[in-house]
Amino acid sequence: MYWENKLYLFTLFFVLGILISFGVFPLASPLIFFALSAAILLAAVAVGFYSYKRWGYIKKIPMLMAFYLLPFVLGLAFTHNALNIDRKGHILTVTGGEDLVSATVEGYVYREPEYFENRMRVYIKPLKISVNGARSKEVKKGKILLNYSFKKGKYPEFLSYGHYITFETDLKRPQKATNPGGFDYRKFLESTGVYYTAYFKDASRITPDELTKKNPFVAFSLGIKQKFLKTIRRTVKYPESAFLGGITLGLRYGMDGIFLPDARYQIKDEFKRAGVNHVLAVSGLHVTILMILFVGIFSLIGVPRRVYAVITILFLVIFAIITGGRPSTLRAVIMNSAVLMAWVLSGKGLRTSIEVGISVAALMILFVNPLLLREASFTLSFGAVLSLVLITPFLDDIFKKYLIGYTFWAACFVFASFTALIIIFKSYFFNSLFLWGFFAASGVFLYLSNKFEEKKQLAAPSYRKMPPWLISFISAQFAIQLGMMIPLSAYYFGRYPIAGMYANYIAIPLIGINVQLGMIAAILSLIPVVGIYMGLFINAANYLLLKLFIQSAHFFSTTFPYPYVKKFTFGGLIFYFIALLIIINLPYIKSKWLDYKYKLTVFKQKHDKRARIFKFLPAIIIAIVLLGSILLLIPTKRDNEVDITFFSLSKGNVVFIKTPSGRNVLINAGKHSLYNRREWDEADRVVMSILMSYGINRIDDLILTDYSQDNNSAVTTILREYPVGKVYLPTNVQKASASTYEDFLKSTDNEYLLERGQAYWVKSRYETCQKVSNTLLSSKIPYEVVKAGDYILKESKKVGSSEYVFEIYAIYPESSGKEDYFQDNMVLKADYILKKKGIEISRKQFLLAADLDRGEVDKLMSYKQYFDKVDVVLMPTRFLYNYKLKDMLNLALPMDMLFHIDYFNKGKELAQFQKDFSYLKDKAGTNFYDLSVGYVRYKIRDGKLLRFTSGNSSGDMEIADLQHEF
Amino acid sequence: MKKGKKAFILIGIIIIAIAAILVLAFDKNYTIEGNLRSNESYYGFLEEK
Repeated sequence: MYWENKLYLFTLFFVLGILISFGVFPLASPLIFFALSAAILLAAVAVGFYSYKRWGYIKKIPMLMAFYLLPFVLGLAFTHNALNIDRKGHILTVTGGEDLVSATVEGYVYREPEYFENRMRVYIKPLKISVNGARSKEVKKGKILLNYSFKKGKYPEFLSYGHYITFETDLKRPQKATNPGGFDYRKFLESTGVYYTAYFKDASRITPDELTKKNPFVAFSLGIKQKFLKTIRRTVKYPESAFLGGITLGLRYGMDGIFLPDARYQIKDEFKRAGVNHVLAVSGLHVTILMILFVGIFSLIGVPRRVYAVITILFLVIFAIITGGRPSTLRAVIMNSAVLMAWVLSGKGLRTSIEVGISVAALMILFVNPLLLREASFTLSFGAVLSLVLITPFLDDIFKKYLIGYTFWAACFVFASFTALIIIFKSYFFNSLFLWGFFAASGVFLYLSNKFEEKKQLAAPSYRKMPPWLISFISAQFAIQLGMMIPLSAYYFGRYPIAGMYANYIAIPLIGINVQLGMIAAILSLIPVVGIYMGLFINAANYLLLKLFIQSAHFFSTTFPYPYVKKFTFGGLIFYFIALLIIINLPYIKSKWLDYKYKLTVFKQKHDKRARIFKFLPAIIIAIVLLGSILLLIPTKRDNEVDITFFSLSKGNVVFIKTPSGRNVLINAGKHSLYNRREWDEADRVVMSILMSYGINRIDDLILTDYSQDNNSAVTTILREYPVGKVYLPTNVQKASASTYEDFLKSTDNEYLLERGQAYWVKSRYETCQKVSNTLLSSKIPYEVVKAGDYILKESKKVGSSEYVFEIYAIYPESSGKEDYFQDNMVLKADYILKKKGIEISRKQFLLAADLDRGEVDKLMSYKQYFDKVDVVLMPTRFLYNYKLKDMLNLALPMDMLFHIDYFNKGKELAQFQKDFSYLKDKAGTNFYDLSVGYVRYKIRDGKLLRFTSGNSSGDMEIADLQHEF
Repeated sequence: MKKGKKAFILIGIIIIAIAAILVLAFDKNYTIEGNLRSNESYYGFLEEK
């Protein structure tokens, strides 16, 4: 175990070096760290050699240097090298680091492209780039991702692996997170070495070359992949074929947009909700299943161990190439290969081999690319295997020790009650008080039943007497939940799949059979003439099992809730893992503590005064750690602060307001296309995700300004899956819910709309309104119809001689007695007023016109008094260029104007926008923010208005960030 | 290999064989041509070189 432990330590300190680098880069030049590493290594060897010669053994100092200091400095060196873009030959140096640059690129396709329906992602290694027609420069580091859309059936051969190409294009830096806590695409691509993206719809701008640069082994593996894919298409029906392609060939995008009949979510999303979507991310499970298959078959036919170990490893490498070489697969292949070699060659036990394998895999992957440490695929993959190795034995011991007799029955009862409660009373689990209460009560119940068992000694049934394979499986499942699912689901996704605890008991054994049968069928089908029929036979049986997997995922996803959970902060995550490690290692810590106390007693006999410091030292360290953790975990709360976030969505205007008293107000829900089920649900993917990262677990007031598809077609997600206090609407839902489309049309006097009554964009309003009405009425959430002059919220607080007032009220629609579902769209104002000794000294005003129809601006102008000196105006999503809006803006003269430029007409719309509104920049110094590019967030503190935009990557900064230059 | 394990594997093979026969016997469309037709949209473009 000695060298295995040393390898573990080396890896741990290397990882620590990488983590520290992320925080402090750039600390120094990478060369300095490399030189320092070399110096430390030489010094360690020299001192070690000297101490061995002098005393016959290697003293502690060179060991400390070699296994603690050296890997730490190496981690700093490698990471600084990876993050350093300021050097000759780096793609960003060649392009000048510009976000958008016109260039001619010569390069080659360095890996297999990713295929989707009608598009592909091609990864280019550029060799030379010429920027804006200047002389070509050599590129040594950095890659380009080329997005190519093509018509069905027209597959461009010259964009496959190894081909050289030349193309002219606009190179774009990938987008940073467009919303707070959102996915940073730029960081994600840069972790894989990609710094620019390009978009093509027309292959004529790409010049292919006859030259190719193919690694023969990679080309051979990809050839096998093509053959396997052909086999799947011939031997399994759709959509089970798509599932098999995902789990055996890594073709997970083939699952996009597939729905079971009458299912609300696509199969991929049902897998997520059931907690079994890990099967689509080819990793340790799949690699281990294949290793077991090969080892099993070779053992059965009597092949010597040393021979089949090599063949198996070879196949695993081919499998890694076939499935795209993702970090999780690489980790698994390296680990399994190391385990196999250690087991076969050195006769080491499996557990030891696994521990060696984890360290070797982590080091190999991170030496090549240390930036992968911050990617979800890396942390989830290693998190899973570390949980299995470290936590499973601990849980095994606990379960075997305590789950006997009455305690066993008590545990079964607690588990069954938990299951029944979450299925029947889903909404209670949004309430963290209930949840903690349940766990506390269960803990007391289990403790008392344990005491009862100690007295009565029932002794049976007992956990330790269950079949060994079942014990291992149950302990492993709990270990994965504790070590990976709970913390990492919360940290990355803001949702926790409770169903996973149950579904995986079926999913994992099933997937083992699916993958093995699929592989056997694929390999056999390589046999000429008869092979395909053998493959058809085997996959016919597999087809039923694939169907069973999909149906069981559907069952679990519809039976169990999929609650939103507050996202862990990074500090919270570290605290969780430290606490977990302490609990798992309590016996070890206890023995070390006793050892320390003994040594202190001995020390005290010689140095009484100094011993007193050491006596209190552990307590001081624990206090510092606890205090630090508490400070990390407690969110900073500022009194009397208003926090307003304008989300970046495709087109909809969605705003979140945290009021000074702590109320959570959400205006609109976002889009979930009524006509294209494949499109994202923005409420789920964006809105809720941001609210989770803010730590919001309840919406007190949900204001729906209108029934446009862009603003509110996703409202059912929020009403069904999130606690909402009250809903505010511009029109009466009971009438709307009962009306036909003809009645709905009759509500408006707008001639333009009536003439186009059968157009889908007109009908979509009716359908969104029906969605809102039906969901709201069935949910029994209280609601209120709001008209001009109605206050939704009014808060005031006195602190000393100051008074803070915050109000949200409607200035439109008018209360006319007749409701127009098309044109009665709510326009809101939010005012923050600071008074001192009763006198108003500061007022910050927000005008929120989320959606306005053609005729409404005229009517709105009769409320001029609300437009005077508004600080921030949110422009409507449609009819942005209504010339009458200028009248409103000339009164408001806003500091900031927020709007959406339509993605598909970007050039045309932006030019029009500049023509219509740029005069405001000269007249009033107005700043313009395109919400389709990134979010804008405001905080109002003590009368001051602070602005944060997506251009900031380093937290709070008080800047005015111009996104478009006029 | 232990007898129990051998028996387990044998039973597994028999079950798989029965399942395959049932699918092929009852589903007339479960043929190479039938499966290709159903998979028209599933990476069909990769074969149309």
